[in-house]
Order: sequence, then C-alpha cells, then structure tokens
Amino acid sequence: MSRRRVDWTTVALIAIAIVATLSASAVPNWIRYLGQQAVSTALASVGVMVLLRAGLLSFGQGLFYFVGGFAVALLNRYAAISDAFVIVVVSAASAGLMAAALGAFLAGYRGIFFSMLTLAVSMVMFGIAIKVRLFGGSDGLNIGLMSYFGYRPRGSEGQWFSFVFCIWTWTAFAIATNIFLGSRFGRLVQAVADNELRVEFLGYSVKKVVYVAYVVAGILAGVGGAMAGLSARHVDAQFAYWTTAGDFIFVVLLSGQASVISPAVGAFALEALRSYASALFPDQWQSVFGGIMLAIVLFLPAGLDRLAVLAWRRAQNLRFRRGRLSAQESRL
Amino acid sequence: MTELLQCLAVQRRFGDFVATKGIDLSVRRGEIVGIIGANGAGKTTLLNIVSGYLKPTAGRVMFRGVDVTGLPPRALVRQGIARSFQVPQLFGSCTALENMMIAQSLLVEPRSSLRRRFSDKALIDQAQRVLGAYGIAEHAGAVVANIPQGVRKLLDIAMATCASPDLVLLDEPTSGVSADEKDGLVSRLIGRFGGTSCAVVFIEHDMDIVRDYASRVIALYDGQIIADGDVGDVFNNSDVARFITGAVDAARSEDRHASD
Repeated sequence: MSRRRVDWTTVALIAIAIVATLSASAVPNWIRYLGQQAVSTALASVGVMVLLRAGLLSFGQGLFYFVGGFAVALLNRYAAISDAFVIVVVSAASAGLMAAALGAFLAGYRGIFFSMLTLAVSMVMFGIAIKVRLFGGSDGLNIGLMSYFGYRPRGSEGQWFSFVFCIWTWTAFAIATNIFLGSRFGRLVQAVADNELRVEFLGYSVKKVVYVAYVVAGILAGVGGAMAGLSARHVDAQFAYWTTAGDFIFVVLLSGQASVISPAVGAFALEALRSYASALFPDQWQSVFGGIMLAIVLFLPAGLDRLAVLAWRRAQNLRFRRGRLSAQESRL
Repeated sequence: MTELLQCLAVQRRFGDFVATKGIDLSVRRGEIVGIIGANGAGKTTLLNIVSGYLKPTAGRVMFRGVDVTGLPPRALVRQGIARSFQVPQLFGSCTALENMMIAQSLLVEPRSSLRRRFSDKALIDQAQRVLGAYGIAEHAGAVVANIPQGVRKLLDIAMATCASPDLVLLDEPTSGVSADEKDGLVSRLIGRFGGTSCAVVFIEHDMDIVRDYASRVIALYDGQIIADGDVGDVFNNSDVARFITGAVDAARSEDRHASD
C-alpha cells in the first residue's frame, strides 16, 4: 500500500473543531451562537461553491435550507423525535431527495436560465410556506430541545451541546465534501465548467456530473438549514426567501473558493457583520454589505482566501529557496 | 467483417442548405484515409455525424456492423470512436498533466475508479507517460491556456485517443501548427496508429501531408464524394484538380504566361 499524502484541509478542519470544542465553555453564549449561525451558513455556502465550480450560480439554495430546517421542526413537532443525530440525517436525506427530484429537471440548464429557475422554485416554496398552516405561516415553527443519544441537556449546558454538535457536523460534512471534490469524479465538476464538449467526448455525461453536484449542494444546504433551525430553535418561511440564498453567494464571493474551509471565514464575517452593523448603524447596515462586496470585487476578485493561498505559496517558496541555499552551502 | 465504418446515404440539412448530400463510404481496419475538399464541402459535417455530434437528417451510420445512427458522442466514444477537434477542446483552467489525467480517468480506467482520489500516483505516472510518448512532457505542469498551439493540438489528440480506439477521426490535425512542426506531428500520429487494426480518418488541407501519409483519399465537393481511392488516382482525377487542388488553374495560368 502506498503511503497517502497528508490532506491539510482535513487536518485543519479537525484542528478547528477541536479548538472550538475545547474553548467553547470559555466564551460567552452569544459568541457560541454566532459560531453556530456561521457554520450553518458556511455549510450551505460550501454547496454554492460546489455548484460554482461546475460553473453554475444557484439563487435557490435557500429552498434546501428551508427543507432541512423544516425537517427538524416537523420531526420534532409531529414525530416527537428530538435526537440531533437522527434529525440531521433525516434533514440531509429530505434535502437530498428534493434536490434529486428537481435536479432531474434543472441539470439541463446553464447560466442565467439555471440561476433564474433555481430562484423561481425556491420562491414558489416560500409562497407556499407562508400560506400553509403546516409550516406555521409567516410566524414559522418553534423547535424543542435536542437530545444527544438519549441525553437531553438543558439551559446553558444545552447551548454548549448544540454548539459542539454544530461544529462537528460542519466538520464532518466539510471533510466529506473535500473528499468528494478531491476524487476523480469531483474533478469532473470543474471539468464541466471548463469544457462540456470535451467531457462528452471523453465518454461521460455532463448532465450526470451537474446532477450529482446539484444533489451534493442540496444536501449541504439541507444540513445547514437543520443546524440553523436547531440552533435558533425556530424556523420560518424566510429560509426559502431568495435573500437567504443571496447570503450564501455573498459568503462565497467574500471568502473565495480555494478550499471547503473558506466559506466558514466568510460566513463568520457575515454573521458578525450582521449583528454588529445592525447595532451600530441600524438603517445602513445593508450599505455596509454593499460596500464590502464592492471592495472585494474591485480589489480581491478571487476572495479573501486568495491572501491565504499567496501566503502559503510564499512560505513554500522560502522553504524551497532555503533548501537550495543549504544545498549550495554543502557543495561549497 | 472488415468494414469498420459504413456511411449509407448520409445526409444533413441545415435549413435550406444541404451540407452532405447522401454520402456513401466505408472504412476498413488499418486504413489511413485523408479527406480533402474546399471550405464548405461538408468535411467537418461528415466527421460530426460519424462522431455523433450531429444527427443525420437521412441515412445511416454503421460501426462494426451495428447501426449507431443518432447515438450521442459519449456512447460512440465508449464503442471505440475517438475524435479530435480543429480547435483543441481542452480544460482551460487545468494543466496539461491534469487534462491528461482527467482523460485517462474517464477513458482508460474503469468507471468505478471515479470514486478514487484524483491526485493518485499511478494516474499521474500513466498520464506523464502518455505526454512523454507525444513529446510534450515538458509542458506537463503548464496551464493549457498558456501553452503553444501545436502542443495544445497534440494534447487534444492524445486525450481523445488514450484508450486505444478502433477508429480515430482527426479534424485538421495540422491547422494552426507551424509549417516545420506539421510533418513531425503527423508522422508521430501515423507512427502510433498506422499498421494497427485501428483506422484513421483525417481532414487535411495540406496536400503534401495527404500525399505522404494517407493510404486512401476521399475528395468532397459540395456535399458529395467526387473521388475516392488511391492517393495517385484521386490527385490525378480532373474534378479533384479543378475543384480542390487547383492544379488545372495553375497549369492554365502557366500556359498563359508561356504564351505571353
């Protein structure tokens, strides 16, 4: 068996999760809550990133965020299931099924048609959700306390558990997505964006690649929605509204697409901005958003993670140069 | 069964324009067929139909004796029809090596291996070997958007044919390649596919290349075959001289100069 190269993304993800878990009890409640919101948004944004790698911009990921969130609420309400693990699995499966059904129809579209259709489907869901009793109308639904393998923590302990659960769920799904993107099939996602004709002439169906990418993105958004729901202990129709999907796109633009970790940075920035900016300038906080967006597009179009990529390359260059220097010295 | 490919009255219409007007041809294993013809004669349309990119409006295409009319490219590729493009079709954001790796992961490796890691040592080595065989290994690490046209052309062909196909269709393999590179490129390709059970069909504008490398020539004019046979016979055909090679015009103008 050949030795496998260390995957630094996986290492970093696990390191982040361990640090977050250990420091969780040392930080105030609101920061933990911010973290939960951030990883929920981040996971859905990872899905947007997967689709963007295939050259597709989805304005409708809010739909799967909604499906995931309401799967939690409905299971909790009508089936009296409160186990967080069961709930996340069911949310992922429902969002995945929804994406599998819609994908069959959407995978044939590209560009603006794809974007507009995803937006339309998501807004149809919003329109239904806001009218239907089952989904709590515009008030939404409350969600009870979660339990973890039969243990149901309460109060601030419950909050600690839900934070740690969200962090590790994000880590697990981010690692899985990283493996997916690093596989030969995952590489086809990017190949489709580059040249569909060539993929077809290499004997593979472009539609299949797009379909799988769409389902993966749907599952990620579904799990994100489930985490958002069980963190806030409340879900509403707003999950399916197009601005929710807009947030995910904002996050990916802000953070870049170099790695599955990147969206977490953007998502944290977004959630922090949302809570600070709305407190500091309640009426203008969205123009702060716009300003940041403009700055990114003008000065750092590849996103914030470009800075990390450049730093990494520089470090490797230095190491390389130092290696060469010492080789020269030893020759002398 | 020696007929590898058969086109039976293949016709393709674009609105009022008929690009190929009932073409009949057959290609046997081991043949190296050059297709010549002026712009608009229907050469690429014919290749597009055989490779599944276009569906014929009438007629049938048989491959290894089986009717494959109207099958999509990906099905035909899996049956052993490889095709290269006049304008290289590559994955522009990837390096030459990655392009080759993607091609091999789809064409050479079994489907189930798509679940495996992309940057796998065996896949890298294998791709590097093919690049070496085509003499373009030095460009392996370069993003294909930045490499010379001749190399892109070779890479396009190398990707298309990496699964040892039965029929290789090359659309103008030497277009966009500098004059002194042309011979090397074609001899490399013929060296690889010539003398095997595989057949090569290539479209070419450079008559010297056709004369030197083709074992048979098909001349197209206005969507029809006007000559099909040995290289010598086709080039001596008066229609071919008049419509394609321009030899008669040249001879006539020489006469005129002589009489002046």
